[in-house]
Amino acid sequence: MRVKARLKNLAGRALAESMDVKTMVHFARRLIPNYDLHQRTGFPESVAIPNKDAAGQIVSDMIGEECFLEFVETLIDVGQRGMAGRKYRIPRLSAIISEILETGYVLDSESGRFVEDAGVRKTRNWGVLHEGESYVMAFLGVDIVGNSRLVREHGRHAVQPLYDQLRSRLQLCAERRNGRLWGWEGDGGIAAFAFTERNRRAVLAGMELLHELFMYNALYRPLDGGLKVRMTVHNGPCEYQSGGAPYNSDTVQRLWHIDHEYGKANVLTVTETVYATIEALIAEEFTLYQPEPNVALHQYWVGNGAGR
Amino acid sequence: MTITVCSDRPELLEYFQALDRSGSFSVEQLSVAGLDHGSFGELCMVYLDVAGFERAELRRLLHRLHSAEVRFAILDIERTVEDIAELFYLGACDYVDERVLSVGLSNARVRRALAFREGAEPAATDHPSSPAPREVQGPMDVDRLDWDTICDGSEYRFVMLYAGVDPITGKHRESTDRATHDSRTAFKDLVSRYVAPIGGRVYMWKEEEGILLFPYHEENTEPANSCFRMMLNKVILNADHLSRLAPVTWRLALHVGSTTYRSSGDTATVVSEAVNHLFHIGSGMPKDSFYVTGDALLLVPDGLRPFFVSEGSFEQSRMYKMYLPGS
Repeated sequence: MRVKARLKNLAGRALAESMDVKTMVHFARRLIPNYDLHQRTGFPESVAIPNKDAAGQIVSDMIGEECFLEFVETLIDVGQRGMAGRKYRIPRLSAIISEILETGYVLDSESGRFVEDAGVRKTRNWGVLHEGESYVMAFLGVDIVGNSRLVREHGRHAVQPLYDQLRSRLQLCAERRNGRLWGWEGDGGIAAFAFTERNRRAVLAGMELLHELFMYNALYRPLDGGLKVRMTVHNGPCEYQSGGAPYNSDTVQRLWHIDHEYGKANVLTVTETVYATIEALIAEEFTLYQPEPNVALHQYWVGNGAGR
Repeated sequence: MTITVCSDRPELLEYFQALDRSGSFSVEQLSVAGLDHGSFGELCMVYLDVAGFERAELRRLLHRLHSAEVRFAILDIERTVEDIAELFYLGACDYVDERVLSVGLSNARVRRALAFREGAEPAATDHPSSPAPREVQGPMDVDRLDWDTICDGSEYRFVMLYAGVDPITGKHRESTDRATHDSRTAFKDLVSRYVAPIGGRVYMWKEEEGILLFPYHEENTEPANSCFRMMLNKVILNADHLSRLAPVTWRLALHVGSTTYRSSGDTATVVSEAVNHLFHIGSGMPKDSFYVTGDALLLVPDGLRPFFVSEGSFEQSRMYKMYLPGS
């Protein structure tokens, strides 16, 4: 993220006016472990660093380490909840937040994190996830049923445009709910959802995609019996990788396992951990499916719950 | 369905190619002699080129087709038929001359022709005394209406959508009243935004219900698609835009009719039989339902038709209710 001079200045003044140098260092170490202010500023250990210089250095370092947004998030947190049992009044916080919002971010109310405003910019990591770090996320996996048979019977040229359509619809349904298409490989793909209400948004995206597929099959009648997909939503920790879909993540592997073992054509399967977090209005549309005594899944298909 | 173009002029088949390409119909050609001497058993819908027919000869052939219950339309490119009405007395379901062919035969026209014949069968007429839909002259003759060609104060044929939010019931009157008010506002906003990209506009709205208009043309299937989607996405729309706690449900009804166009808020003096009819339909509908009238059913794409089931007649319209698959 590119931080303008005005924003940098505001952040430095807010920090300088809200705490002493010792507290600032303690604060900085929340984000950069072993942060050494004297080493960074070049001031000898025996010389006290003026508040303004210390704050300016810390803000510059936060920008340099690409954790300026986390710095402001922590500042907001300290302003609201205090630090080490003490309360701090952080001046100019609303001006700092406004400046950040103007650069195309929104403040996620539940997690207290800045995330990309999907209406302004859509990047794979929402502008905030760091390479190699683990985050709890929800995933929507989509898998075309009988891909090999379809290719054999209709030819790659006939099925490819349909797959492309499905891919773009998955992307549309996910991005409409601030999800991101993290991978598509031939006959299926995966969309990721992070931050507030990630499970709910992944489920709604899956339901909408299922409805879109229903309409597509009814209106265009592709491939004789129509295009059939299995969809699964599962959540859990996952390491962010900028290079591709996290297929080696346990969460994603579990998702595909559920998809292959228990998924059904044109059915959205949701795992128990996801189901438990969605509101009753949506949950009522799902039917419990227990293929094995220790496996509880919930499934939705077009028309399930009709007439309830 | 197969359409048989019965003519000795192969060039006529060109006018039917669009129907063939649409996938809804398959088109074949048969010579006039082939029709006259063959069996009618396999025929579904015949477009008969009447060029060169003597009147008596044509009457005899039409009688035979009608007796065999073959649906047929007349192709009269040179406009040689003197008494066009007689063709319909003899069982024809459409009359196509050069002017019609020059703008092209649409799927919707063929479907209307088929429906016209079905509607003429005694068994299908629930209310023989019901008046036929009134044809309106003037600007409605424009083939493909869009909002750019619609003028304030003129009468047009529209695809009309009735949209009404169902009342919210609850134990506490105060909270119920507030929820009802909120849901009405949110629902009007939702419907307007939902149909705006496909040319839908709010025409009139009073509290919990209103009428929205779409420019009419014979192939405008978007309003029906959109309403179908709205019913399908009920839970999603509630979760995304309306209520997470008490689901808001709604009634939709699609009709084709004529009214004088006025911008929203300026419709107090509008008198329209179709609008009144649609409000009557809406007020009598069960909660959480989507109906189309017989005229609007012609604008429902083939793939969605199986989800509409005849529910008899209301006033002058045959009514069809949408059922979700599995229900």
